[in-house]
Amino acid sequence: MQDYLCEVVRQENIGPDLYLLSLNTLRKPQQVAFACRPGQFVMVDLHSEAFLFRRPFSVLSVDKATGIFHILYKVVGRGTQMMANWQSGFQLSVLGPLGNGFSQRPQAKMEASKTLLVGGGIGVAPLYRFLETQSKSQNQSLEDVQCVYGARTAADLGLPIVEQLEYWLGSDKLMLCTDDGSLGFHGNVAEYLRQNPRLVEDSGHIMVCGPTRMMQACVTTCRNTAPSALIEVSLEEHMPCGTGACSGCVVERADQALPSKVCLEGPVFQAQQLAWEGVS
Amino acid sequence: MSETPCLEIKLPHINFNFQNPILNASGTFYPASFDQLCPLAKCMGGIVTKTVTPTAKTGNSQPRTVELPGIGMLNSIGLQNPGLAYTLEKDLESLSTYHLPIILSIAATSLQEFSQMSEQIVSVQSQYPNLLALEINLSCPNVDKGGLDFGSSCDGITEVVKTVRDIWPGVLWAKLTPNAGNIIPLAGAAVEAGASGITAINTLLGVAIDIRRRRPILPRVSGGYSGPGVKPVALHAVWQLYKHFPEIPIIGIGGIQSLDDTLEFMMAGASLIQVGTACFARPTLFEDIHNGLTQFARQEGLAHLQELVGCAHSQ
Ligand SMILES: Cc1cc2nc3c(=O)[nH]c(=O)nc-3n(C[C@H](O)[C@H](O)[C@H](O)COP(=O)(O)OP(=O)(O)OC[C@H]3O[C@@H](n4cnc5c(N)ncnc54)[C@H](O)[C@@H]3O)c2cc1C
Ligand SMILES: Cc1cc2nc3c(=O)[nH]c(=O)nc-3n(C[C@H](O)[C@H](O)[C@H](O)COP(=O)(O)O)c2cc1C
Ligand code: FES
Repeated sequence: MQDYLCEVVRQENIGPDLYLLSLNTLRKPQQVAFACRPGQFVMVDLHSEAFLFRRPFSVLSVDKATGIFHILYKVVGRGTQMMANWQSGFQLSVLGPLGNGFSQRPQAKMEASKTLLVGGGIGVAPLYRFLETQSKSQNQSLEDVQCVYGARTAADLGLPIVEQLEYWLGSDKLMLCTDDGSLGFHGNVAEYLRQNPRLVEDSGHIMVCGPTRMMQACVTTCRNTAPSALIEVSLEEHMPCGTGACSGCVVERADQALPSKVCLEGPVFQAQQLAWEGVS
Repeated sequence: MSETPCLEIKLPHINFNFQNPILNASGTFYPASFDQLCPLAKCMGGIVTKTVTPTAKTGNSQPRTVELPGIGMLNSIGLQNPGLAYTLEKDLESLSTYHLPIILSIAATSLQEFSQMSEQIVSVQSQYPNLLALEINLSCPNVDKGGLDFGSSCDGITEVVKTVRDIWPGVLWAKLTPNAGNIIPLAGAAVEAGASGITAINTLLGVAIDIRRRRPILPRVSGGYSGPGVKPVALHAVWQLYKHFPEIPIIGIGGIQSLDDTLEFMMAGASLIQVGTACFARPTLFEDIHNGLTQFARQEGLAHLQELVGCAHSQ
């Protein structure tokens, strides 16, 4: 982890309130590029006295050669509203990489050997990074990877994101869902999983990221359908510090009495570690 | 090139010099993360632990924090901690690796618990030579007095400080709450009962309402208010304390987020300072303040930083 001085290289509006922010690390060695595993995140300094806390964002993508990395974000409040106004050349501090990230694919030859990625809305970001690292790795392939990605409308999916996912996976292994039916399956990703149990059954490793309710619904389905699969979820909690200092970002555990700090022990947890109400 | 100025702070009656006046505030620090960003062994004068209680506490439900634009934050963490036994066994060992004095923050809900905790701590003291001081977090409810905070009355403070003092022979700081009216009699009670330093201030009480849902944001309604907005309140406390107890070391805390804030606290009478909320967004602040103090002392031709303590009172 380091506090990097970064510069906005580019900022693109790629959907309703949806932005793609490209950052370049200045001065310090460009280690964000090398060290960042899928599922890890950064704390972005908003550089304004109106804000006390930095804001956490998953790293969407990293270009090792140039050191440029990307964040995909949705405007949901005052901080992200302000970020949307950042122009090229704007300089900011970015603390990272933080958190644990997703596990490596289980190596053991299992009957259910596929990897399933399930992303809701902005939750696609760490999964995108997983595909990116996987596609560049020599001893891994994307052949056994499938992805279900959903959002409210087709526009909310973000065209450049969909195009890249399609490039990596091909259209047969990418299942798109929209709440309004404007593209792909008409319904959310949890509903899609319920209606397509084969997809879940075939998977030995399932990674889920999105709104909490959506993740809970997905986990319930996955646990019932593929009881022996490694199910990992990436949590979003409000994070005042991101470094384990404040104890503000905790989640209750099913397997221990004390709650865990999401920023330090997560944001990725195995589903069975969490004491999620209503998740069977 | 002039000599490197001396940032050391000597406190009366103890045979120990802090290498600089910069400490962290209890409950706002995670050494393993911060050490990656600024070398703690160099930048800090000591490390204060999260408040520990006799047994583990799971803390409050979410949300636990509220960001207050421009002025600070509310927290309602609920003293989540692994309990004294774990802290003595595991945390003190890992904290010892920074070779800095350790200040163990403690809280309990009865005098009996305070007494037992003190015994337990004394029994391991020889294993941890870096364990320099106890800081009593007095903002904790006394179950024998209907849940009223120990720190809200002189009697409560006297009882707790005496109980710990009788058992713990080392440096003992009483951390006072600003929520109980005039701080001077409260500090007087702590000093009288044997406290060798006063830490001021803990958080103020505050509320934030979610106007869309028409209800308080924090499940327990009130939280502890900290950050830049509390600085003048904290400085007032430090000023008053120094005026009334010039011989008693004051550990100043509340809203410190820069070199200038640090200097203000020292000039008002703080021998040491603690940084809390501000290091969430700026985890390198300890190093910035350290470098700033060195530069300031050099520019001002100060041979010893200690000269600054309370200097604003003599103007
Ligand atoms: C590990 C991690 C990775 C993330 N990755 C991404 C990502 O890749 N892309 C992305 O767009 N977002 C991501 N997020 C979410 C992102 O951090 C937030 O959307 C962002 O911080 C919102 O900032 P804001 O100032 O715009 O909103 P704010 O104004 O801070 O708040 C937005 C909303 O949250 C509510 N809220 C505020 N404080 C609290 C609180 N203490 N408890 C509960 N609710 C509260 C507000 O009422 C409001 O509805 C991630 C979060 C985490 C923890
Ligand atoms: C998230 C959080 C947790 C805290 N936990 C403790 C604690 O465990 N014990 C304690 O004595 N004070 C605790 N405090 C209070 C701080 O130590 C400090 O007194 C207060 O925040 C004022 O300083 P600041 O404005 O620099 O944060 C906590 C404060 C915050 C913000
Ligand atoms: S955000 Fe502060 S501990 Fe996780």
